[in-house]
Amino acid sequence: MARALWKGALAFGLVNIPVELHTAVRDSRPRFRLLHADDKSPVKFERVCVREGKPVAWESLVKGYEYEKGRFVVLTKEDFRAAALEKTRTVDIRSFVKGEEIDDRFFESSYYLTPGKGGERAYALLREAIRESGRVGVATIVLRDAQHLAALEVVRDAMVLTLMRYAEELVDESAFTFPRAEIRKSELQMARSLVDQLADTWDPNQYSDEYRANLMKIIKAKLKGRTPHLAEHVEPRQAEVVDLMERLRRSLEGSGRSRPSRRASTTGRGARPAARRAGAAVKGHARATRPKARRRRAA
Amino acid sequence: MSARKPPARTAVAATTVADLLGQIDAIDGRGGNGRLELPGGQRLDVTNLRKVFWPALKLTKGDLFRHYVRVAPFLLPALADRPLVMKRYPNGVAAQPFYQHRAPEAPPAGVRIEVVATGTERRPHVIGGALLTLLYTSQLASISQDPWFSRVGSETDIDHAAIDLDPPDGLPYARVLDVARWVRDELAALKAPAWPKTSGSRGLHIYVPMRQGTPYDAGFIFSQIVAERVAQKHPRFATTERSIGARGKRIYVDYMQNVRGKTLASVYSVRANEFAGVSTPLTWDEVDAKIDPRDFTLGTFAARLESAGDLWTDLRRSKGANLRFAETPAPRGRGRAVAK
Repeated sequence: MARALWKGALAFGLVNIPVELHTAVRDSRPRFRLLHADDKSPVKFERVCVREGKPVAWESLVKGYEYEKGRFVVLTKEDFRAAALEKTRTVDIRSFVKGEEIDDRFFESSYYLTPGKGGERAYALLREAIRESGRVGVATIVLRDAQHLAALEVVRDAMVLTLMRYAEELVDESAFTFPRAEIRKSELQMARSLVDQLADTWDPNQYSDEYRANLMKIIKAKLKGRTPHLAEHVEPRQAEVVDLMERLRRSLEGSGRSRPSRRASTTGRGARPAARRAGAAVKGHARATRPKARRRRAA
Repeated sequence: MSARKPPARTAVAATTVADLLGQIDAIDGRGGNGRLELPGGQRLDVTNLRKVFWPALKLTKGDLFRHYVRVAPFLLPALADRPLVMKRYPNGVAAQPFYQHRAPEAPPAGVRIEVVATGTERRPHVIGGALLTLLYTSQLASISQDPWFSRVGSETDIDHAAIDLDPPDGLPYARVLDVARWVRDELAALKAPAWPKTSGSRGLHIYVPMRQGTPYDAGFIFSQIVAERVAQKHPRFATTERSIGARGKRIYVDYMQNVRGKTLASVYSVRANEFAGVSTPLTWDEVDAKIDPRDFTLGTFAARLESAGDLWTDLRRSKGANLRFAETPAPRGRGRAVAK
């Protein structure tokens, strides 16, 4: 097992369970280094003083807070130390809340909590208690001087600690306008049927990072000196199916009566956006009947 | 909307088939020109039965006649009362064809011609359904049979919608069958019955029967919904992109034929391709299995019909898809009849 990135204790009430923190996520995209194009040599970064134009040694660097453009307040190591919280080395559980009360915007990276030496029994006990409660522990933890909010959850046999954002880190929804539409029950039913058709159980294995797969194909092909075969670039298209449902409904309403003659029956009633779009296509198509049909049938 | 009205009766007796096959052989043996005698005293002059229409397979115009005589009992119900579009290949499949929408000036007595509204004009069309007419269009070197989706007398209402899967060159037919299954799944989700058939060329057609009084618009939009869903779910394999270049190696899920005046090659049609393919109804089990449309040709089709029977009759018997899944219980529609 990989080395723990943090060792400490899970503290709640009078209980103290020794635990270790291991990262639960990894970046699966290939990493790239920057090279000098001419000789393929890696380049390095230098910290150059903007005024002198010369490199500055690590020990001569301090951190500055830019309180207005070009003006800084300098904070020294002592300042940071003064601000730092006591390094408690504990995951302090503050409360247990219902999982659905926390929305997705709060969650950041996840870590596995594993039991430290001698902590196995207590770990298992707490895990089962949390599992049975169906709740999520809200905890604080100090990592690298900074205090983090975290959620403690049970995932199968593991307790998982997910760092969370503070409320002040979230952009308020009121920064945007979200529509409040008058929605007819029938429209909702249509839209709902579309949702239901995609209803599924969550299977993360269904989804994979195709960008990564393409990059790896290119890399492997280049190692072998070949040109890679990649899936063709596909422009995603979103036809407004709900809109089509509405058009279908209207077309049926008009059925049974004699209908006005039209060249392409979908070009009429042009005011609706989707109708206009499809209509434009059909108009072009009507003109193109002969060549298209010739191509089709000449197969 | 009620179940659809049945088409005009188109029965062809087995004895008629056997008799005509004999006449065709005889004319073929006498040089290829002669007169066919049909039941009811109808007559049709035929010419050039020995002319090679499929050079690669050495199949002739006479072979085209033999095929259409054999399948007539099953094909004619699919053509009955429908305006036909002719795509004529007087010099065989390797030469340029030409389209003929308008009926010829002086057709033989007994060939049904009706003036139909196409949406932009009214013009006389040959109306399918009679054995004489089928043989007449064959005499005119119309290789496939291309009927409208609607019938004369109710030209604005369709009997079926169709989705046409059109693969790019070089794609294995298994990929077409994949897309056909996805289309089937979407149709099943909308509870729409559907019947597949090979196009006779490289593609596949899926027909969805519609209830009486369904306008072209509804069939078009319905097919569009299905096609767009398939294209959205499988964007790397299926597309509704009309520009051939933009399709790439994807299969074109074409819903654009559901327009008055447009046609697809009907079931049991022979196609003007190098393997003389026949548009063949399939079972969905066959779509699940691996089939090769090149197994169904002018040469092999008699055996196929013998073993599979006429799979297209169930399509005609279906009461049709209920498109009212998109229906609104509209406020004013409380009293409106909604057919099941």
